[in-house]
Amino acid sequence: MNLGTSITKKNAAFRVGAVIIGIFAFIMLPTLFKSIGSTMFLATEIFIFAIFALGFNLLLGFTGIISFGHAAWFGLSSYAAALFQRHVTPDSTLIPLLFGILFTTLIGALVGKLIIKTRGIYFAYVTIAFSQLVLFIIIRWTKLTNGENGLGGIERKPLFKFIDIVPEFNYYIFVVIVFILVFILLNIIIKSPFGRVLQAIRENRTRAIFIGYNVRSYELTSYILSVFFTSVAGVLDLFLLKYAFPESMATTMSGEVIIMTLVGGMHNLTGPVLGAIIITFLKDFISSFTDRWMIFLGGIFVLFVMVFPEGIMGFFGKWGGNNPFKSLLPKRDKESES
Amino acid sequence: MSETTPKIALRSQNLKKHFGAIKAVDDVNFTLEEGTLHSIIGPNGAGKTTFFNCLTGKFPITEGKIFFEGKEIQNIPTYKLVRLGVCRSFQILNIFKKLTVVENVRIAIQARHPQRFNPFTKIDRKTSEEAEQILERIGLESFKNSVSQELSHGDQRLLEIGITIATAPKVLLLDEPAAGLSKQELQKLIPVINELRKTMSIVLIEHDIDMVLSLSDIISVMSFGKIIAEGCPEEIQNNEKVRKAYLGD
Repeated sequence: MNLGTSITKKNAAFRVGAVIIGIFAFIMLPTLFKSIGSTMFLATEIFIFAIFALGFNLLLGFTGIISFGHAAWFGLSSYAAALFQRHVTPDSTLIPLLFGILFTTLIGALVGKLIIKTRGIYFAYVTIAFSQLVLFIIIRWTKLTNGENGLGGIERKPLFKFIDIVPEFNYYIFVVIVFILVFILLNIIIKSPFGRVLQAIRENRTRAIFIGYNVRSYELTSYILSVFFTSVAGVLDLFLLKYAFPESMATTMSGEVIIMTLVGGMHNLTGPVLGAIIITFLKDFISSFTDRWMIFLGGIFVLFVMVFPEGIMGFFGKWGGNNPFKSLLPKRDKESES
Repeated sequence: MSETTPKIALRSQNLKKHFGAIKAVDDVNFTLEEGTLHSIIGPNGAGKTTFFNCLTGKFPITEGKIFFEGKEIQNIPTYKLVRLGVCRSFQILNIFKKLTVVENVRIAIQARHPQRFNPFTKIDRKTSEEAEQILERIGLESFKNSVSQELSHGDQRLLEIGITIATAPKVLLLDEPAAGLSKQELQKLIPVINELRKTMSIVLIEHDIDMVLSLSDIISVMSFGKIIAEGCPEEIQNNEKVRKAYLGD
């Protein structure tokens, strides 16, 4: 048996089916949302948060490093893009978007280089500290950032001068396309030799060092990639809201993305997406009749940590058998035992 | 062995490792000749594992020098040391528990490949084939797709060795590979070690004295951080100092 080839063939049919159903779902989703009294806006937001959660989860679920300050990168990229559009290229969306991503990834790389030496809970503390630092710079630098009021006047200009993304549905499709690209890219990354090493580091860091890996440079690269994907979500959020808010980089936002990842399940790519869908939707739903939606979110978080520590996808995995998500889960081939 | 002076694979010179006032490794001069199996025995707490930790760069050493193939290596980080060809197994099981058996070995092989840092390629078939060859060498080929935490303790021990040799070491440091093994499982382990000694120099820390006596070319005895005796198995068996260290008088 050749590894790899036999496994891919087995799932090929399923994959094609999943892709077709997926495309239908993406197009139908906003219509479905409207029929239950929700909005296109929310549907777009869900996919933005799915990108955010996927990026965050590369670090948490696949490398085993927890950051409590990822919202800083989410918010910073939106501010970078907003400022760029206001001051440099008022006629473009694409250039500010790319600038926001590039700028944030660069700052993220510098910060990552500084903090990657710390481990575990200390790393978590340092990430909180840095996210607060970024937040307070944004709030206090009122001349540039307009402080707590945020930056308005952002416009969706046509992409490549002819693709109009002003209508909500067009922007939704644009976000979905970016989401699919991010998903595919991450799928390639986690299956590459590099991705396998990240998972080995997650499983046993010491051992990874002792078989000849420069673990710290892998961790740093994972951190930078994670910041990159987070900033992609950040700039998309800016052009959805057409406004940059300091709240987008607050600690609660960092908490939300952790909850999304944990609820969905962090050991595969489907988990964070599922988590983003559920939490974004619940947040919208609960906040429509109470301001105290954080209480409910906290309750859900505690429930999952205690009862389903592996999240929804992990739960399905445990009850394996004939569940439809099985081929999306990590494979456990029992045939060759015995 | 022959007329020419034997080549030295690994050597420590006045190696010291102190934890505060405790001299865990105290002035150890140790020489591993190429192609030999050199065992280190000694009572619990003698400093054997600490010595390994110093050799592999896990702990910074207090004093002394370590040479690998004539080069000083005491300041080289662990991961680079592994790439040079010094690799160890662990006393406490240290495998990637949630990954499959073949994946465990493949990750270790991949560490030698230039593609290891590339996030945009697939795992090439050659690496997978190499992994399967190593599984055959350690007798775990039938478990290749099992998640490694589901293996028996003895098989996990073998996998531990498999991961270590997948890095293609020239010097293999085995830290109590037989710990917790049954007689039966031991019968699986010994041929594996006998096979490996043909291609690499081995340092073995072990408590199972029968195994040590039957496998070793040379035995060093450690007690309270010092090497108190060194010689071939018969010499060690008849050494008065060794009996004292083990039996307390």
